Amino acid sequence: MQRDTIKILLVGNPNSGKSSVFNHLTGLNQRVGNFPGVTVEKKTGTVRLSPTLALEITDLPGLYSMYATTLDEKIASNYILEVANTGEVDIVLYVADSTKLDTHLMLFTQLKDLGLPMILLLNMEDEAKSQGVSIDLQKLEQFCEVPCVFFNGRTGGGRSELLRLLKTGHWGLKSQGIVSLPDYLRDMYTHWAKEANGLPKDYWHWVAALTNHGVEIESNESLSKETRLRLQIEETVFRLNNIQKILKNGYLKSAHQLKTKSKIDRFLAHPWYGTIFFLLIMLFVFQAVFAWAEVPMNWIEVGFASLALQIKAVLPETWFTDMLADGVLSGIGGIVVFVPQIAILFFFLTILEESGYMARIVYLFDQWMRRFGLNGRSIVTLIAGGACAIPAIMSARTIANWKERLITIFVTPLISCSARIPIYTVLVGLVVPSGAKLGWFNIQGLVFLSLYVGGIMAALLVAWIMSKMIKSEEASFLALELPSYKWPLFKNILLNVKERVHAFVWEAGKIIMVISMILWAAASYGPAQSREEAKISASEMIQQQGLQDEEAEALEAALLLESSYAGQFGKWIEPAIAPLGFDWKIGIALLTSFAAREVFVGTIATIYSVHNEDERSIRKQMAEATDPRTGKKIYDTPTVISLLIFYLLAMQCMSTLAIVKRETHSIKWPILQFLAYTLAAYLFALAAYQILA
Amino acid sequence: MKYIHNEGLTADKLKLGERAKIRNFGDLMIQRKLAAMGVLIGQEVCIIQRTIMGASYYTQIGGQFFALRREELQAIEVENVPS
Repeated sequence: MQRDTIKILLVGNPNSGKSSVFNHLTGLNQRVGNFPGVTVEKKTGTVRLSPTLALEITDLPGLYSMYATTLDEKIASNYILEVANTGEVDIVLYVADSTKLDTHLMLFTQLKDLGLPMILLLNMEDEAKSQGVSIDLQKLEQFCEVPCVFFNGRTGGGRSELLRLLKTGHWGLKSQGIVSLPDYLRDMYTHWAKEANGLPKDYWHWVAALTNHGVEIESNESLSKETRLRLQIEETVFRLNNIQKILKNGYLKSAHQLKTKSKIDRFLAHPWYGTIFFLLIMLFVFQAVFAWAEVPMNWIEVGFASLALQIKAVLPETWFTDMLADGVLSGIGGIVVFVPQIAILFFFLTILEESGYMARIVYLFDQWMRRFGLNGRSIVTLIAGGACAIPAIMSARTIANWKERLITIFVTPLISCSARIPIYTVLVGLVVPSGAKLGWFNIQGLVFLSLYVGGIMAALLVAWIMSKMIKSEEASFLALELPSYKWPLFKNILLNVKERVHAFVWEAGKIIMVISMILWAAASYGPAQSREEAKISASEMIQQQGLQDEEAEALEAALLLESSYAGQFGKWIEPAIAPLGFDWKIGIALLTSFAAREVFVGTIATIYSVHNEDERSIRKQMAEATDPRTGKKIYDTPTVISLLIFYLLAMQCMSTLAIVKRETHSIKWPILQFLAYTLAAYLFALAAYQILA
Repeated sequence: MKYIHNEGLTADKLKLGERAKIRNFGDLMIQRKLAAMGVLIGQEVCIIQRTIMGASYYTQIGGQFFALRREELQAIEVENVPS
C-alpha cells in the first residue's frame, strides 16, 4: 500500500548524533513545536521523496531507556508507548553510535520488543573503524531482524540509501521481540504482583505497568516503587548482557580495550585550568555578544529610523502614517534589533554544545550551581544574561531538569544586562563626579561594580529561595556522559541559530509588537482637551522665549508627552512612587521604559526637552531639575540611588517577559516574574530612599 | 589483578587513578540511571579527576567517561586491590 506520507519517529540515545541525522535528512524543512502540555520541544521535518510521497520525521529527545529518569526522557518514553499502542507511526529510525553499540542497542531491543517496525542507522562507523572495530552489517541485520544502514552524521553519507529503502516500503514486519524477557523476570513479576489483574500480556503492558503509564493498568498498586525499580534494573542488565554476548560474534573489537582520557581534558576538565579556561571562553562570547552585535544593531536602528522618516515624507500626514512610522515600524525595529545578539550567542553556544565541551562545563560547575538549585549549564545562561537576558533565557532550553531550567529562566533577568548600562551611566554620573577616587579606586567604577554584584547576589538568592519552594518529583542527577570531542558541524550550527532567531522573531515578537503598539499609543495620544492646551501653551512659550527650530521642537515634544496618556499615567502613579523619591516625570519614564530599559534615557531627554540626546546634556538637565513646589533638587543622592536600585531589580523589559512566556509555555511565570521583581524593586527602592532621605 | 572485597568501600573513597571493580549498588534510583547508560556490576571504575571543591568526579567506567556527583559515587560499592 502506497501512502502519501510516511510517518517516521527518530529515536536514539543522547550523544548518538541523532540531531545531525535529523538535520541531514530534513535540512531547512524543520518546524519546532512542543509536546502537548509540556515545555519539551518537538522538532518535526519533512522530506519530499516523490510528487506523491513524503516523509514526516519527528525527532524525539534523546533517551537511554524506556525507564526514564528526566523529564525529556519521560516525554520521549511516553510518546513511544503511545505510538506503539496506536500505530500512528509507520517506522522508527533508530540512531546508534557504532562505537557504543553495546549500550546503544539496549533501548533498541526495548523498542523491538514493543513491536515497533524499525530501521537501524549506524552512525560514526568511520570512528568505530579507526578504533579497530569493524561491523558485519549482515550479521547485525540477522541479529536485529531489521534493515541496518550506515549513516554518516558528519557527511550525510548513507542518506540516499536510506531514502531508497524508505521508498520501497519493505522495511519490515512487525516482529516479535528479539530479546524477549526471560521467564525468571516474569516469575518475579508474578511474585510481586499477586493481586494484579492478570499478568502483563506483552512487553507493552509490562513497560506500562513498570512505568505507571496510562490508566488501563490500575493493578500495579501492588507493585511498590522499589519493586518496579528492581524489575527495571533486572531487565536492563539482562538486555545489556545479552547484547554484549551476541555482539561478540557480530563484530570485532580491537585488542586495546580501554580508551584513556583524551589529552585535551587534562587541561579542559582540570579543576583550576579548566575553570579559568571556561571563564576566558565566556569572556570572549560575552564580548562578542556585547560588542560585535552593536554594529549590526546600530544599522538596524538607523535603518528603521530612516525608513520611518521616508514613510512620513512620502505619505500624507495622518494618524495612519504616524502609526505606521512610529508605532509599527519602531515595534518591528525593536524586535529585529535583538537578532544580532541572539544569532551571535547561539553561534558560539552551539559550538560549545556540539563539540562536547558543554558536558565539561556542567561537570566543572555543577558543584557551585546546585547549591542554589541550579544546573551546571545555568552558569552559561547567567553569564550570557550579562549581555542580554533574551538570548540567555533561550539558552536555558538545554537544561534537562525542568525545575532547574525554570529557576534559571526566572532569575536571569536579575543579572544586569547591557540595556541597564545607559541608565547606570547617566544616574551614577549625577551623584558621583567622574574623577572621584577612593584610595586607588575610581568611585564610579566601584558603584558600577556593586550594581553588578548586587544583581548577581539577587539572582542567586532568588534561585535559592525558589529551590526550597518548588517541589519536584524529578530526581536531581549529575550522572552525565562525557562524550569524546568532535569538530562542530557548520550545518548544525546554522540550523540552530536559524531556529532560535525564528522562535524569537515569530513567537516572542508577537507579544512585543502588541505591547509596543500600546506603549506607542499611550505616549502619542491623550485626551483631546489637554492635547490642545499643550499645543497652545507650547507655542506661547516658544514665542515668549524666542526659541527656534530644535529647541522649539523639543519644548513642544515635552509638553505633548506631558499631555499624553503616558503623561497622565505618570501623574496618576505619582502618589505611589513619591515615597521612593520619584516624581511624575520619572513615572512616565517607568512606563515607557517597559518597552526596553534604555528607553528611560530617551524619555527623560524628551520630557526635559533636551534636543540633543547625549549623556552630558541629559545629565545637566536632570541635575538642574527642581521640584516646583519645594524648590528641592529632584535628582539628589537618595532619589538617584533609589532609581538605581529600582532598575537593578525591576522587570522592566517586555521582550524578556515575552521570551519567558515562549520558553515556559505559560503566562503564569512571566506574570509572577513581573509582579515579584517589580514589588521587590519598589520595596528596596523605598527602603533606600527612606533611609537616605 | 585480583580484587578484594573490602566492606564499606565505595567508589568516592578511591584514590585518583586507582582501579576498582563494581560489586554492588547502594541506591536503586542511581543504579537504574547508571545501568541505562551501560554501567554494570563487574565493570572497572577509575577516578580521573575531581573538581575544586571535590563534589564532582571525572570517572572512567567500563570504557566510558562520566561526570558523577559524590553522592552518586557513594552509591557504588567497589572492591579494590589493596596496596
